[in-house]
Amino acid sequence: MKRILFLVLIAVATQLQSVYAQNAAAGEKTFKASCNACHSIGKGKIVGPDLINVNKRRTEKWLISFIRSSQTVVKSGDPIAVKLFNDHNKIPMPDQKLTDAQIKDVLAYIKSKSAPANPAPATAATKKAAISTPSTKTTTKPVVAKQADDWIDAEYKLKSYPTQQDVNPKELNAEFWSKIEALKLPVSPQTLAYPTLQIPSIEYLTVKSVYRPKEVAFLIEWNDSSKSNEVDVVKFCDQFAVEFPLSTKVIPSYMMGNKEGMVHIVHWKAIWQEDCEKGFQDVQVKYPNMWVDVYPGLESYLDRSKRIYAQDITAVQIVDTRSTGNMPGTYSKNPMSQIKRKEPVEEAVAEGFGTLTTQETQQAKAWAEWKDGKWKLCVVVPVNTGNKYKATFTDRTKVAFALWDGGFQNIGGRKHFIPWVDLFFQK
Amino acid sequence: MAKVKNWQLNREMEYPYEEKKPKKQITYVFDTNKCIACQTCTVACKTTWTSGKGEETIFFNNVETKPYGGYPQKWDVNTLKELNGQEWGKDGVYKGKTIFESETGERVTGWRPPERNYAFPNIGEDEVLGNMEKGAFFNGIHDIWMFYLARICNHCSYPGCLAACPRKAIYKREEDGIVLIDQSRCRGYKECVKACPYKKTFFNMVTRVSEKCIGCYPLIEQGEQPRCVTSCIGKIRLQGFMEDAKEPRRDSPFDMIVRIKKIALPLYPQFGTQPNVYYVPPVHVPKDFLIQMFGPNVEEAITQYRNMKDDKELLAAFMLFGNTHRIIHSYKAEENYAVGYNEIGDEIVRVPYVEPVLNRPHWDAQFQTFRHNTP
Repeated sequence: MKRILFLVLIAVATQLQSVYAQNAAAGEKTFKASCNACHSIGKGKIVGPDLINVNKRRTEKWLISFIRSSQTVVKSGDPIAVKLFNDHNKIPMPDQKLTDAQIKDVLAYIKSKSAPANPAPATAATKKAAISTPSTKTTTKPVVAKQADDWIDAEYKLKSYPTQQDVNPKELNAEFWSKIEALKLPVSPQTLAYPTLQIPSIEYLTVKSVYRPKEVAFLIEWNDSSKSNEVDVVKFCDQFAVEFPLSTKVIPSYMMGNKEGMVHIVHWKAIWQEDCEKGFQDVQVKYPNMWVDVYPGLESYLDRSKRIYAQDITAVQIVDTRSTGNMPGTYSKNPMSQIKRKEPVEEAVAEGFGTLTTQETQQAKAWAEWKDGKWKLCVVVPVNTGNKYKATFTDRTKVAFALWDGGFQNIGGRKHFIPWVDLFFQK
Repeated sequence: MAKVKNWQLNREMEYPYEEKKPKKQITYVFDTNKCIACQTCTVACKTTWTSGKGEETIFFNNVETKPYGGYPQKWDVNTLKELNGQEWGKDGVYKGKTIFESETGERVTGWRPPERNYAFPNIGEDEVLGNMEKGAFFNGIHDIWMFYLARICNHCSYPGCLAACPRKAIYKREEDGIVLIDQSRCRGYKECVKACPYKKTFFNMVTRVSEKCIGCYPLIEQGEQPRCVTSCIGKIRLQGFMEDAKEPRRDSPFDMIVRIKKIALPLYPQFGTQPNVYYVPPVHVPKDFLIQMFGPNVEEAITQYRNMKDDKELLAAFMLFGNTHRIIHSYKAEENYAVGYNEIGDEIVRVPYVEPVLNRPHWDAQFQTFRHNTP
């Protein structure tokens, strides 16, 4: 009797293994879409813990309930969950709208990645990779000298083509762009970190890319039915950002990077575009009928004979001729409060949520145009310049994108994103 | 989310950060019964801090007429609506949800005012609730009512603005509990504008970052009370410090007014931010309105207030209002005077309970003339 039971168990176990093998592939997809930004498997802590061998540390039941709603488990007082939450800076893991089956697939994938010696899951994973990326396997001829240890092939591949000429971002309809193939990338609402985007309004963007020795240029297009270039308490503007790992030795989280890997970000805003095109978007520009009695200290600017009243004084005038003590952001040298902006973009670095920092050396250029419900934007990014805060790579790297729809009150973390895309530089 | 103790709700509540008390907490008491809405505080604040370009709609301090006034318009009713009803238990425990106990998928429940609501700073001024009936007369109780509510940032113990800032650009000072927005770090996401239930963070459209009341910290650091307090002609305000972690001190005017006699109450405690501006509720306003606004202890507070003339210890604390620009740390009710002391125990103010009256004769011998009451 005992023997029969033993045999049955073996049979079940074998069957289970094959089920795991099948589901790992589906799990990989879910993992990359929902977990990748905060968790690695065997590459250390990102935002959340390393999930290697998590299947050995916790029961499946616990994992399912935690993945579905981590805060419910934390609030129930579960000691492991509470410790986990406290150990990870109390950043709550967002609830995942996944079925039991999907979660089990993810666990199968984690298990397969945790035990590379197990041949069955490994085959499945390789198969998946082989199916989804046939072209890149053949087109990437030179092997990268210092390839990242944690390089994972991304679902999408973008090719950047060499160009001899200067890319002038203002020439959005330049001839050469029409010869470059465009890649269409689906965008997702950001729901991993607070504050989240609850109503997505953009479906995809298309991107083309060319490069020169120290520059990579992108031509981006996306549909946006309303041109939003306003700034006020309930007015938000359209925005775009492109992000690179600082180096390809470590691939950081595509969500603003992490402590182990910084990211280089180039950020464009429609209000900055407006500032550069038409001059600083001052109060009297946005509210032409405004009226104000007096700005104390600025009385000398008034001239009744020329009909110059308080509301006619401009921020540029103040910055040019006197202390900005009454403009606290400008006085504190906040990069957001720059009155005389030269480019509609800024370059920044980040190493995690809330760490975005404007760079000292600003070299990126951009220009955009909104026409017939569509933004067309060209960004030129300085790379491989020797500056340690600009992206550095040899013949391939990764890029991620973000879009904000001002008409839908997108701002900060309330954005659309595209996770890492492999960027290949064609000869 | 951490569990923190909110003494105004008599219960624990959720907050994104651990409970951490400042060394002392900036505290204000406003007596609504004395306010005449002259807006001297508003102007004092405006000319001191927010007279620059882009600050046209920023009022760190404002005085509005309740029930209809509000800046930004309808700030309170809209936030209350978001909370979806608030109930107090018979034991004084708040049973409803705070702004941090959201079920909306947001970290803080908030309402973002449309810009039009910033367009009329003094809307509803002096408007009363309802109309006077023909032939109505005053018989001791008003048929219709309104009152003035002076408002500043509450420098909350659990600030909504701080909780919502994704950049941690907002901080609460350890030395005095003043809540500030780092002007060099803010990126103008306006999450704080949405999250602050009192709508006391404002967006500056020229610098494109947010600003809020700074509690006149340069004055506080020199032991002086803020501009809005010292400029008040009705002497309705007093600013000092309170430490709610310690046993209440009978020689602290704030502990006496807020914690011992419980005569001044927090504004909308149900928001859950544990605000630090305490209001003596208006005595002539219907109780249900006041309970919604100041919590369940309104009636006791009003009874105490009416009896204050016979309670010298409490009266002395109120005599200190508006009579010195220095910050009072302790006080004493002497036979004929209320006496205030600074941090090191030096006397800084001495106020008589009854102003001396001088009767001057009709004939002025010095100037050889008659004195007249000339209007």
